[in-house]
Amino acid sequence: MFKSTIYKEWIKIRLVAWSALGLGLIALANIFLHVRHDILFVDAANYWYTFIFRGYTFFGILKFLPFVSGLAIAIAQYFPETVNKRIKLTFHLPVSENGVLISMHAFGAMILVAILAIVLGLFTAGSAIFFPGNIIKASLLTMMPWFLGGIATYFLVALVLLEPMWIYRGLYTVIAAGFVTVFFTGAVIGAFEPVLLPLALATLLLSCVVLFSGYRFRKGEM
Amino acid sequence: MIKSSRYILVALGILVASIVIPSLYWTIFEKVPRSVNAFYSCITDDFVIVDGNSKKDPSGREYATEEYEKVLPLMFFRQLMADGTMPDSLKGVLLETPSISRASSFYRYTPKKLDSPVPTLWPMFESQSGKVNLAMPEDYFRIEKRMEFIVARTNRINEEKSTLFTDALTAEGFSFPAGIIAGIPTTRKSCDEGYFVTDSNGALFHIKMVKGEPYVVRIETPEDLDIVYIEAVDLRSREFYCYLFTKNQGIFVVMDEVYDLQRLPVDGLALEPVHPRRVRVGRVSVDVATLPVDQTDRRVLRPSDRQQGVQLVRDADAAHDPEKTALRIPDPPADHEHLLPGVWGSVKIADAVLLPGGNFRHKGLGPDTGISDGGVGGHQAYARRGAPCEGPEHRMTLLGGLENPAEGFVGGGRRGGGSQTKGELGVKHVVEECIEGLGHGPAELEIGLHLGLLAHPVPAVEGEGLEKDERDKECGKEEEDSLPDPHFGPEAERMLHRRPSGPTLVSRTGRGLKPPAVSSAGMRSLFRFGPCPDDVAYRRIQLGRKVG
Amino acid sequence: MYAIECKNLTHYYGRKLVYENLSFNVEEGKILGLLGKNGTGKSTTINILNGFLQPYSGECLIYGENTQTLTPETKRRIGFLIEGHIQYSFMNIHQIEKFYSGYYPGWNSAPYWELMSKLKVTPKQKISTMSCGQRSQVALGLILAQDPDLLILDDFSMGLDPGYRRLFIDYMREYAKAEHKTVFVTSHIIQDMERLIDDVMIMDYNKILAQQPIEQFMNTFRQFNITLESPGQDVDLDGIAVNIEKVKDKIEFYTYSNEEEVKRYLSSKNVSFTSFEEKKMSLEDAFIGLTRKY
Repeated sequence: MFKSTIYKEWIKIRLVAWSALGLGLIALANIFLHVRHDILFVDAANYWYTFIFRGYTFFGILKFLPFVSGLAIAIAQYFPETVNKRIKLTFHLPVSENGVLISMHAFGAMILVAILAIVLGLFTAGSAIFFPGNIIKASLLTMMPWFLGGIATYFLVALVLLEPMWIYRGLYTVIAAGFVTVFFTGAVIGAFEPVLLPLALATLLLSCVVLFSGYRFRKGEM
Repeated sequence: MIKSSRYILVALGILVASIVIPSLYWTIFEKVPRSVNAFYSCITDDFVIVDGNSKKDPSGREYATEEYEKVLPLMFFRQLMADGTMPDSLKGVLLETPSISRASSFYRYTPKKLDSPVPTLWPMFESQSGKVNLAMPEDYFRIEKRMEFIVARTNRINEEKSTLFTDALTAEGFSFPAGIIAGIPTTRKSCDEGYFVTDSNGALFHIKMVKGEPYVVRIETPEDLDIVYIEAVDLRSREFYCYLFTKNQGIFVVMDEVYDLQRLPVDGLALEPVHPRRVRVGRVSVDVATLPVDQTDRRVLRPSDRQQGVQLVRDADAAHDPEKTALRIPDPPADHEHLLPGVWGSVKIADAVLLPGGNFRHKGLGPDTGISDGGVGGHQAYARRGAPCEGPEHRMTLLGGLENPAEGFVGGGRRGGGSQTKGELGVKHVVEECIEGLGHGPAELEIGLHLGLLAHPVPAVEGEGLEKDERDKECGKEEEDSLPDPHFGPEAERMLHRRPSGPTLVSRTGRGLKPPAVSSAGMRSLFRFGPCPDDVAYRRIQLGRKVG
Repeated sequence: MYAIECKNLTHYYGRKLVYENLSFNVEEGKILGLLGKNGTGKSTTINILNGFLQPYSGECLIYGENTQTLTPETKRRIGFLIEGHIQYSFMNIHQIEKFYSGYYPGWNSAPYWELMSKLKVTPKQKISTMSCGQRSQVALGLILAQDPDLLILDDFSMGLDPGYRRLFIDYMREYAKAEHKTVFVTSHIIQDMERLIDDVMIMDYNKILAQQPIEQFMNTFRQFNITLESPGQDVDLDGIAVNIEKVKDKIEFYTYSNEEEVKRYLSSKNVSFTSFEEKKMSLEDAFIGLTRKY
């Protein structure tokens, strides 16, 4: 039964997922081609200097990739369910309603995390060619809020889309916007380090909020 | 599950609100903070206080810009040179432009420096390359399990160089990994002095590269020095290498070449407020703050309209001991009341205490000045509140005293305005100023001074223009009607309970003061300062001047 | 044994009362048709039955379980057709069959593919690009493949042309009767219902007007047309008629009473008429006759 759920979800998001991954790969190619070019022209020592002491980030292009991916996957997954209230079909299936919703949600989240992990992994591998561990670590610390923000976006957009009443959708959107913005506030390299763990925990907790919308849907809120 | 998701949503909403709403509030309502700077002028021997755009001296007199620049010649020497008003010498020292510019240094430290993320890769410059300009090196170093140099172009470790430096560090007893690494990582400095590095045990090292070879010196520091931040500086005068910030022990500089640690006299950097407790004396409530005598320059009493008192105790433990800090206020004689809290005992303090502004700085008062013998001293002065007055005397700080023979002295006061702290200012000085100040401008002014034990017993100034108190008339009090008080001599007694003409209490009801006609010249002779005998002596002096 | 049991259902939309204390049962093996005008609470009832709406008070039981908390085992026995043949139309007919079959152990794809073979669609064609009728066939096929014991069909005829409707009804009736299935069906098109249902339930605003086997209903609910002798005569038929329509001297009225009782009543009211006839009604006529007044 879980297989069927995944089957349906994959049909919905496969295009978006591959596109997001493709976008990530293009972004990475862009980054490293530029890094290679700049190191050649500016000289490696100077290039490192701009990162270490001037705060120049060579990976800025990745900033909104997680956000866009999370948003797109959530919409691709949940929008078809809300059209004509089609999620009724899923809730009618001979499985626990919360269980099937969690399966859908977990699958989407897993795909998103996989895409982001691949991008991060390739980034680390690519950086290792040009930079030492210190710089890679600082870069990852700087990017981590963006990636967490993308995952939080997925959870929150699902919540908004599944909610039956427009006024609650508006409220959720406002709160979601406020929260997601925190992940993307500009900061010095590595500045988010102390707060990463609490943010990660908060994001993790958000993974189950979609159940609330499902519950409200089944209550018949109009 | 659903219930918890509901709660999580609520928690999220609260979290977002707690971020967004304050941010919005401050965007709308934030005011430009007031920034006050104090400079010390060697010309006027006084402070110059720059508050926003206004430049004042401590008494409040405004400086015009030109005057201000003249008064701080070392800071504005270029302007004064251009104007042709730069003095040749200051206090007997010949001034030469090159030496001025070499000696001047500005340093700024903000809390942001302590909390910001720190780089872990640093460039090691060649200190003595023989070239005029410093060259940016091709590698960066980090000190983790060992000291490693990574060549940027190849992103590989230079093993030879790394081993060389690591061995040099190990030889000096360096314990990996490094804690703080501080240096000046640009080529835009006059010369390279390498880096100041703490190891994992908190020991301090100086690391340089001289002609390709490692230069490592372990700097002697006190055992318990807890370094939290180091900032290297490039001083033209080459006096010291860097500023060293420690957790509790203050700020140091590391002197050039000898590696001495010199502590900067900037205590009170963290001024902690004292929290007074309210004590009732007669009709008056006094906020009494208890603090150990060696913390008086680090504590601040927030200025308020209340009567404030400060109780000094020997040490921090006594400060928290209710028994030791209990105040014993003897009852006034019948039909009398405390004017200001003023009960006197014996004191062996040579000098008086002046509390300027809201910041208590006790001069000459400490465990070695006799306070350990217990006893109370102090003097009490009060001025008419709100009286317009020219001259500094109207701003004199009020001091009052409460007895606590067990542990120490309580001096108190209420800030009436600014203060005149000029170095070691004793009561004598204050009073002299008062007297002098009487000559200035029209003012309704009355200053009453209760001097405790700081003056030798002197004949009471009787009948010299002390008019009968109108209030006395109302209350029908008699001068002679006074009960002997064990704390006071008979004359003092009389003086205490004799009401001066006009209400003298500066009370919160704001009753005015009516000055008696007193010859100011005669007052001077009353003041004597010196060590007191054991018996109590007390004098109450009144000074005043009629209006108009 | 009742497949569906609803007791004292009360529901409001905001302040507006939908119905109060509605109770009905559906026996196993029967086909019940729920008729009613727009806004009388048909969708509400369907939603409650499927667990998509919590009634203000009262409860519905399907095979003994409260519809708000149906277990998966029970849900397996229920086939649900959503109004408008709503389906996951981003899938094609192969994908959708594969999707649903994973959930039902007793999935029998033969009837599904039989129906699909009649459809003129390409294998990869998404359901969203099919016509209304084609989609209804897909929906029907899926339900047949699921082989549920209870079928809840919400407005199965919406948007279908007569050919499809006829196809659907014939299939459905044959299937239901052959397999002893219980069917709960609503529709706007009453002629279709007539062909399909065993029992009828007619809802009106706030209450049920009739709930009985359709034969019984059609046999007892009658329409009489009379022509009055004197046109201006004031005639009070409230005692006997459920619904009255008067045009000049012609009165049409609907009643559960038979001819004899009617005539007796008329004479007791001293109503004289020139003509009297009973009109044969279809279910639609009866429906309108029953609900027209309101």
